[in-house]
Amino acid sequence: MAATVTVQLGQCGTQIGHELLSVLHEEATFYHHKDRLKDYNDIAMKTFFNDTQCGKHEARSVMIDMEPKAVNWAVQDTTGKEWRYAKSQQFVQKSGSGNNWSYGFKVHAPKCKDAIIDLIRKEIEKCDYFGGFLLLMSLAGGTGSGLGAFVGNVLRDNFPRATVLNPVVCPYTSGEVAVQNYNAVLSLSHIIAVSDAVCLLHNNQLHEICHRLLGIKQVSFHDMNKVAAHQLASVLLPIIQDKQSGSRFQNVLNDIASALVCNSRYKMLDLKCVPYMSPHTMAFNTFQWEGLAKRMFQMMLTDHHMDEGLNWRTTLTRPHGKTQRSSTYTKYVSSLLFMRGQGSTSYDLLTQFGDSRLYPTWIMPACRNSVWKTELPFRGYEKCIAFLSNGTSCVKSLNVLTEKAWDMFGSKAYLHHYYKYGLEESDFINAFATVENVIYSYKTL
Amino acid sequence: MTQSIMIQVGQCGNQIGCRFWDQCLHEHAFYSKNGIYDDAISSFFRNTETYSDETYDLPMRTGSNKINKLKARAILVDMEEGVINELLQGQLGEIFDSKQLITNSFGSGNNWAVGNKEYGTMYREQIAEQVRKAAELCDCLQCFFVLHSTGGGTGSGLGTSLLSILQDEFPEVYRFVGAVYPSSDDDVITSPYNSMLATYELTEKADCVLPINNQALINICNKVQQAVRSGKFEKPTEKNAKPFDAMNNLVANVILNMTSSSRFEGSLNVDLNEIVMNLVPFPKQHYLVSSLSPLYISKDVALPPRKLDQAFEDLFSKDHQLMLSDPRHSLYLACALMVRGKNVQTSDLNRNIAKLSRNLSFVNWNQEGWKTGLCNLPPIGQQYSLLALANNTCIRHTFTDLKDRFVKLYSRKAHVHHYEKVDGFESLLFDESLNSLTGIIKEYEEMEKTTLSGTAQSTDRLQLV
Repeated sequence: MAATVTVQLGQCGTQIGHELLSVLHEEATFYHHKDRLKDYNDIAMKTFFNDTQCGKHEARSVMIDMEPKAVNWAVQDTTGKEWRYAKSQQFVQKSGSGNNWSYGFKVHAPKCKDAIIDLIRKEIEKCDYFGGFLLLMSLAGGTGSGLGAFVGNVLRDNFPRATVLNPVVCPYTSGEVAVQNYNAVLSLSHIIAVSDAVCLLHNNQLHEICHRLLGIKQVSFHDMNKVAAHQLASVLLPIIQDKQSGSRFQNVLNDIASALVCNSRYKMLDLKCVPYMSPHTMAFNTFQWEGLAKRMFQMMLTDHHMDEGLNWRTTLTRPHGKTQRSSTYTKYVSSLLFMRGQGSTSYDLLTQFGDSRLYPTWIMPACRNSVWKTELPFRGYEKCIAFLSNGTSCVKSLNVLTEKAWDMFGSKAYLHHYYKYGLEESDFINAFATVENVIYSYKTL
Repeated sequence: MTQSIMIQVGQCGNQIGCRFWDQCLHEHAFYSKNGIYDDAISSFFRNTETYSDETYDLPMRTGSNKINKLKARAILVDMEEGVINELLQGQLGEIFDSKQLITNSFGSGNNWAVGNKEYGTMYREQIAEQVRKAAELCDCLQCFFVLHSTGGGTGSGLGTSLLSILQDEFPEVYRFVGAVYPSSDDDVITSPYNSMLATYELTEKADCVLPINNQALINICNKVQQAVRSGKFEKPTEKNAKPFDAMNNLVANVILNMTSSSRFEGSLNVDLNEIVMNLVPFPKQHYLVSSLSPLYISKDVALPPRKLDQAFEDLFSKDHQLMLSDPRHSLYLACALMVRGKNVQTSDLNRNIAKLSRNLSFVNWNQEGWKTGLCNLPPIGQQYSLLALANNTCIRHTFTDLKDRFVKLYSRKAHVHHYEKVDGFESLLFDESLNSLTGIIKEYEEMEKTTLSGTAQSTDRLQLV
């Protein structure tokens, strides 16, 4: 059972990582008293936390930011909790990156490289058996995206055998940062090359889930981070089938990567979960596997991020599309289903998830879809399903990003800020080419 | 946490600066009840101890030391002694170190050439040394704020010559300039010359300029005053007396709000370097029109609170701009929205951005050119506060006005001899400044034309071979 080191980069990475670690710790201590579930707790805890003498658990995490406020907030927020961050596993500078990818990548990164590698090595030394990295960052800013891309390269150079799973946050399409599209294209071009898998999380989608499913009227970043943490935890927590065989995972990151990324041209993952509901409506709902599976399948077919507002007219026999002739399916390279809750092992999931029409012909039937089940519930939901897939879901957002960035690039706006720190026109063109390549590969599935 | 240094030049600059320090102290006093000298305070103040007449800086170390004696990170420059003396004798006198003052008694006679060339050379070394000293006392200096007016002699001339000192000594540190432009009824005859020459320097040497117009400030103050039944500041005795204190407070509030996110916590922090990055698409087009909503002059003098969505709408109306302009009917190149307040969340921001985007035109390659920031702590006495910094083509109208007034004088070569007789000044400078301003006006015009007429073409995406 391998340990995972969480690397939280920039304000977004720090904040989401903080929520994620809280959720993981909560789940790992929840079933403390029930004996047969002790394995679950052990594995969940040991993967992400370190036992210390004083009784508190220490997160296996390294926080990196070029300005101190977010990291200080996260460290302070753990007072009173049963877990905390290890002392001096945070690397902060004072001046920030100014939303400038070039500054993060060319100026900060080389200066901080050694210190960062040191911190990461220290964290790895604490692990008995090290599995891989969970690299959390956003694409829009300067630190998370610029320094993050550099850290990705560094991890790959120094720890070639570690698995790197990279959840990244895409900004609101309505605009959060004026240069977000440049930063996103530049980052993606690097991390696609070095990470084993890149999972896109979208602020737009997280916002809608908070607003429409959880009924939160005034959605804050805090709420959205909690939803993102919920989604990530649903695939990172152990899958215990029964007492005899123990955990399905030896190394959660590795298992996910090998199940989903069979070809290095296709690494973009997408995450969907059902159900979501606010705590006070949970008591009034009963769940059935059949209902959940049906909703998840429809979400898979229509590539929708939540189970509300689904287009039920699209079916396997009648795919969506503007005209009869141009109708297509959302295509997948491979997919993983996580079923958590009572009765999961006895329920046979619909075979539709592995239907050949949704996958290219060069994928063997056995590799298309896997289902991992555990009887243990997740976060108070009696039953829930998470769907982690490698497919064309990423095309839409990548397309939008690249189109806008290219438009801006054509008018040469903001470029002087990037060139000032050593980036050149050719770097931009290469980045565009890489991302266009990924879009093309998925489009031609 | 980063530090900023405020450099106030000339009468106008120093008076605005005075209001700024006053408000700043109040704000920090309000939010730091334990009297601890922390990161937030250190962005504008030093903690000092005085032993036998020498002041020593107390380092922040772990950030849990109590405040001993605060000194502002400021440099005060004026070629007349009146204003600075008044400042020192007032309540704020204690926060300024006597070494931070650079004064003379002769004044600049409203002559940019005297301010820039004569005093610029005379005081260059002294100013450079003060700046160096102030910078050494900073852990991580991020930006310089220069406050001045462009219509006079000292603020305009010496203020801009200062910019070249800053550029030479600290090229990496951002130079933000709060420049007060003269209104059309300005009583200084040579103000168009001074403003034109100053604008040339600002275009070349500043990273970001916030132009402000006295008339706009007066309008805002009147609006607030009418709404407030019992005015706590002195009512103007003559009909045309300008409520300068109130006007300067407004400018001070803009700077406080702009730096709030780098001083205090929030869920979406915006540092000053991010403002430059996101709002300046081309190096010379760095003039940002600012606006505040809701309007407030100090914690006791403000408009009654409005609903949040209404405040967002107001922010883009021309009554709330600190510059006489109407950005709504011009083209936006980019816009920053900085929000302070505990109860404003990202969903409120998004909802309002979506609403506003429908009615505002953005340049075609930056349709979503918004930069948003959320800071938890509101200004004192307010529930929340919104600040918009817009890079908008409406500034070309102001510049065109300025150009017209300049040309009116220059075509007769009126008063030009006052400038030419100053050592180091060449009359070519007049022509160069005129060309530079004409160039900028033209660039803004071009952008407006291409986008608003819909003739913008998007280049084809990269095709893979």
